[in-house]
Amino acid sequence: MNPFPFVAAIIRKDWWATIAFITLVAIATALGVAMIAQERALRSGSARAADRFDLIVSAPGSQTDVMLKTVFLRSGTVELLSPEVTAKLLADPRAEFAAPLGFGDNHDGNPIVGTTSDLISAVSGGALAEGRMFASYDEAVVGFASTLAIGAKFNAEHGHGDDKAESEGEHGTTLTVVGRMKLANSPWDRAIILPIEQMWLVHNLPFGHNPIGHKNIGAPFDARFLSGVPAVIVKPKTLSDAYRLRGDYRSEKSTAFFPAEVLLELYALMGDIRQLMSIMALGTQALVIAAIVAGVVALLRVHRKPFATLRALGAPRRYVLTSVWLYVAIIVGSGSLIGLILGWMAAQVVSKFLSASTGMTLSPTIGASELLLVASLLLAGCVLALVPAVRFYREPIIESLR
Amino acid sequence: MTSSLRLASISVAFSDAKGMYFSALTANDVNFKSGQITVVSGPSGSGKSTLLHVIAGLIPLKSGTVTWNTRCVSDLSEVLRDRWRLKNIGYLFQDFQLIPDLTPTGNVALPLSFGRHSVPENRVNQLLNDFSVPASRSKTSELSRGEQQRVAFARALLFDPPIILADEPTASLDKANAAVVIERLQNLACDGKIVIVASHDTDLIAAGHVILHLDHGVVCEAQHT
Repeated sequence: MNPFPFVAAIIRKDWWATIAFITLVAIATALGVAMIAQERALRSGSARAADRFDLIVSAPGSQTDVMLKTVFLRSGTVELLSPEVTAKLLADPRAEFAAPLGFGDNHDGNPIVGTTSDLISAVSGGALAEGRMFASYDEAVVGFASTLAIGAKFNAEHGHGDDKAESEGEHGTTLTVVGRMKLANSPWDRAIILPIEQMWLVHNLPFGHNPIGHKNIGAPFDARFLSGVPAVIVKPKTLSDAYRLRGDYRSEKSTAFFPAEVLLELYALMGDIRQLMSIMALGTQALVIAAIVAGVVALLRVHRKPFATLRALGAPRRYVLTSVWLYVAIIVGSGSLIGLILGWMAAQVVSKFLSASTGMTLSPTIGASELLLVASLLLAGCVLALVPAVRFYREPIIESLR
Repeated sequence: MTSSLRLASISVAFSDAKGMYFSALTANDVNFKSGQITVVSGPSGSGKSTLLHVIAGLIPLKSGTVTWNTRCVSDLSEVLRDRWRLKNIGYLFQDFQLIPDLTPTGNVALPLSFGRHSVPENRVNQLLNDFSVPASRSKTSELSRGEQQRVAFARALLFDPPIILADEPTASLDKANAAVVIERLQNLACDGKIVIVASHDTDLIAAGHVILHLDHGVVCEAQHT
């Protein structure tokens, strides 16, 4: 038994309806696939971005806010860590390095971050991609994707992101780019990094060293001349040091956390949302298929006579059943496959927009979840296809010949 | 070898929209012989098509038997009856009932896709040649009425069936094409096939060897010409 020639004839005859049905299934599938692929890409992109930050110490408050500000360089206000705690942390022997962070300025919309060379090396994977580390307060290192070239001169502007509108204006100091970091796959790729001392100086704050004397860059800092900072990134010497530091700096004056902790909380939330959306997507797709099955029943009722003719010519009932089932299965199958490809393409496009706005490198791929979704849809479609098939199988369609 | 098809004590009932049963066909004893054209005549709605469907085993009988040679076809299971019909019956319809989006070759070969029955390799092309069908056309709907009718003939003869059922085969044709159909049916009868035609075409009735008259679903008489 080979119903393909007959099914091909149905498709040719009702090509417009068939294409419409396939398009509906494809769109429904693509939405689900794009959503799941995008969510996973966001998850892995954010994990990759946070990978190079071991321990974050900040003032008590929302760890998520601090995380967004330090790792993802989002604008926003956080409490400052007191100079006393900062000084204690910078001198803590359990830290391989402790890098204070300063924010608040931008150049051409790209965030300017003040920190030390230790953190730059850590984010850049140990060495710079080109140029050298800053050696004076008016020098800067840029992220891998920065449009500023080595040797470029620029002025920092007040504010960053949403804060920018409130405090416009340029600082007077002209800065020179002397180095470029390696690709970090994070928002730091677009950042401009200055010595933390420069950030403090332009904001008329104590800049971490005795103003009378040589202008050092980076550690050791003089505790008497430290300013408050939004956060300090700490690289502990050992794993046990990491947990001890985390415990010791969880106090009334500060909080300490591993970025992974915050990410896990976010992922748990995202996971719940994804699960809900996956169920909704699957439900929507099932409804689409049910609507298509109803449409197929209506469509094929118009073609009862050809089915009756087949029976009169000697086709067994199961030939009719198989033909109808195959027709619906082809619609669902090709719609799902096209939807899978469309979903992947949509995820790529959305990722490009998200990457541009967040600075994170997002690489959506088709994974087991998407394949499972499509397989579930296919299975549901193949089962639902039995509805019109059995209906035609059982109907006394020979009456159509009269 | 002569073949015979016999209907005995046939009764078919249909139900109307209100679920009430009414008698659609009654035939006491009707014999069809090979080499003969039997024309089933009668006004519209008299049960001509129903009689053909009964012979083809397409509708259940309330009572009676359909016997092909010594085999009681009406007692067969539906699956076996389908197989018997595929192999033994060639069906011609008033408006051909071709699949318009299949090629002429595809239409003629379509019954091959129903099961495991096979024909000699060149059978389809040979039939298309015999009936002068332009196989090169991509769609049967592009053929003229006369050409479509020839495709329908070729399809009906794919398995070289011993019984030919034709339901108003000339009703939608002009005089010239109708004459060709009648000639072909006569040739099939000459080849030893049982040809049963439902029609009220006077030319076809004139060509018949036996005329069965139907009146309100009752086979009244067999008139031998």
